[in-house]
Amino acid sequence: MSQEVRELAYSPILWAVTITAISLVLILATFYLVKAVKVSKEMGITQKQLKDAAKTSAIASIGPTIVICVGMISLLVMVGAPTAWMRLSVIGDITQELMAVGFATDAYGLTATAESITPEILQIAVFLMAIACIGYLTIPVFLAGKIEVFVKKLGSKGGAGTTGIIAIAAVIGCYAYVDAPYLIALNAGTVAMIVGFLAMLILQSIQVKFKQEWLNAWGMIIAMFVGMGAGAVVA
Amino acid sequence: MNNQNNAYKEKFEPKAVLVGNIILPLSQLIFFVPFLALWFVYDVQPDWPMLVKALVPWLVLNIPWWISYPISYVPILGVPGTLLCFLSGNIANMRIPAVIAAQKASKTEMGTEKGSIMAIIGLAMSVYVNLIILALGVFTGDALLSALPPSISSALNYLLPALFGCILAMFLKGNVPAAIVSVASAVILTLLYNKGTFAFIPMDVSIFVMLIPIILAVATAITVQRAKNAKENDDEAV
Repeated sequence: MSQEVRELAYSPILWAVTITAISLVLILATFYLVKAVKVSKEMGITQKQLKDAAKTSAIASIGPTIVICVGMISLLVMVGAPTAWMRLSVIGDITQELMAVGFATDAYGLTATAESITPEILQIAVFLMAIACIGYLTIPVFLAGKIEVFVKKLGSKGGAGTTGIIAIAAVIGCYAYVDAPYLIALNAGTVAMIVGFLAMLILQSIQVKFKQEWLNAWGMIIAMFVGMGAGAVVA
Repeated sequence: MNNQNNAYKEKFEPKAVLVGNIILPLSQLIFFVPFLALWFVYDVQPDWPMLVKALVPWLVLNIPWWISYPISYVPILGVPGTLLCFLSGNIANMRIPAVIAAQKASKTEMGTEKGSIMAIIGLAMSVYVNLIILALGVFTGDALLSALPPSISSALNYLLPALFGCILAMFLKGNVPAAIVSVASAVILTLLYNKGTFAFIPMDVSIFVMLIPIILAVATAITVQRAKNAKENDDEAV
C-alpha cells in the first residue's frame, strides 16, 4: 500500500465511521439482548436456559471468528484496518468484501493487490461496499415482516407444527447449498465436512442413548473440531 | 400459553422491530461516509466512468441476493433476529451456527417464540465474541495470527466445512427426505452451474442455485408433515 493510500485508509474519519458503525451493532445487539432477557421470564424461560444458551453460543462463535480474523488480514492489507474491521464486524463477509476490491481494481484492468490500490480504487471499493448494503439493511426493513406473514400462512395451511418445520427445512436447504461445493471438490475440505457430519450424528446418538445432556450443548463444538482435525490430517 | 404469546408479541417484537428499522437504514447512511469523506474532505475526485464500470456488474451480482437472503433467513430467525443478523453480517458461517448452538443448549425449537428469544441470545453473544476477537486482530495486526503454530493455521481452513457438515447432521433426524432432496438438488445445480450449463441465460443464475434447494427442502418437509397429520387424523378417526 502506497503512503498516499495509507494516509487515506487510516484517516481519522474512516476510524470514526468504523467506531460509529460498530457502536450501532453493539447498541442493537445489547438492546435486543436486554429486552429478550426481560421478556424471557414471562415466557417461562429459565435462568439456566438463558445461561446455557449464552455460554454455548459464545463458545461456538470463537472458531468461526478466528477464521474470519485470518481472512481479515488479506482485506486489511488492501483497504486498511478501519474499513476491514468495520466490514467484518458489521454486515459484510470476507468473500463479499474482497470481491468489492476485486471489482474496483478490475475496472482499471488490474488485479487486486496491496500495491495496485490507488486513492480512486479505494474510493470505488468503499462505494461498492456501501451499495451492497442496501439489500441487507434497507430491503429487510420493508420485506422481512411480509415474508414472516407469508411463512405463517404457509404454516397454518400445513397443519400443526408446520411453521417450525418450515424453519428447520430452510436451514437444511441453506446448508445443502453451502455444503454442495465441498461435496463436489473431493479434497480435504470434503473430508472435514463429512467427518463433521458423521461426528455430529454419532454424538447425537450417544446423547440420546446414554442420556448425556451436556452433549446437547457441546456436541456441535466437538464435532466441528473433530471434522477440522480430520481435514487437516488428510490435507 | 396466551400470556407467553402476549409477552413476545406485545413486549418484545414491536419494539425490537421498531429499533431495528431505525438502526439499519441509519447504518446504511453511515456506510456512504467513507466515499463522501474521500471525495469532499480528502479531495479524491470520483473517477465516474470507472465507478460505473465497476458498479454495473456489482449490482447485477448483488441484486438477486438482496431478495433471496431475506427469503432464506426470515423463516429461521424471525423478523428481529433477521434485522440483527443482517446488520452484523457473517450469516452462514457464524450467526446461524450461534443461533443453533443457543437453541440446542436451551432445548428450545426453531420457529417457536422461545426459539426466537434464544436466537437473539445466540446472535448477541456472537456479536460480542466477534467484535472482541476482530479488535484484537486489528490492533495486533498479523502479529497475533503469525504467533499461531503453522499446523493450527492450516487446520483452520477446515473448520468451516466441518461446521457446515455438522449443522446439516443436527437437523437430519425427522427430516431425512428434505435433506436428501435438498442436498441432491444443491449438488446437481452447483455442478451444472460450475460447468457453465446455464451460460445461455442472460443473467447470473446463482440465486437459483441457492433458492431451489431451500424451496425443495421446505416443499418436501411440508408434504411429509401433511402426510403425517393426515395419517394421525385417520388413526384418531379409527
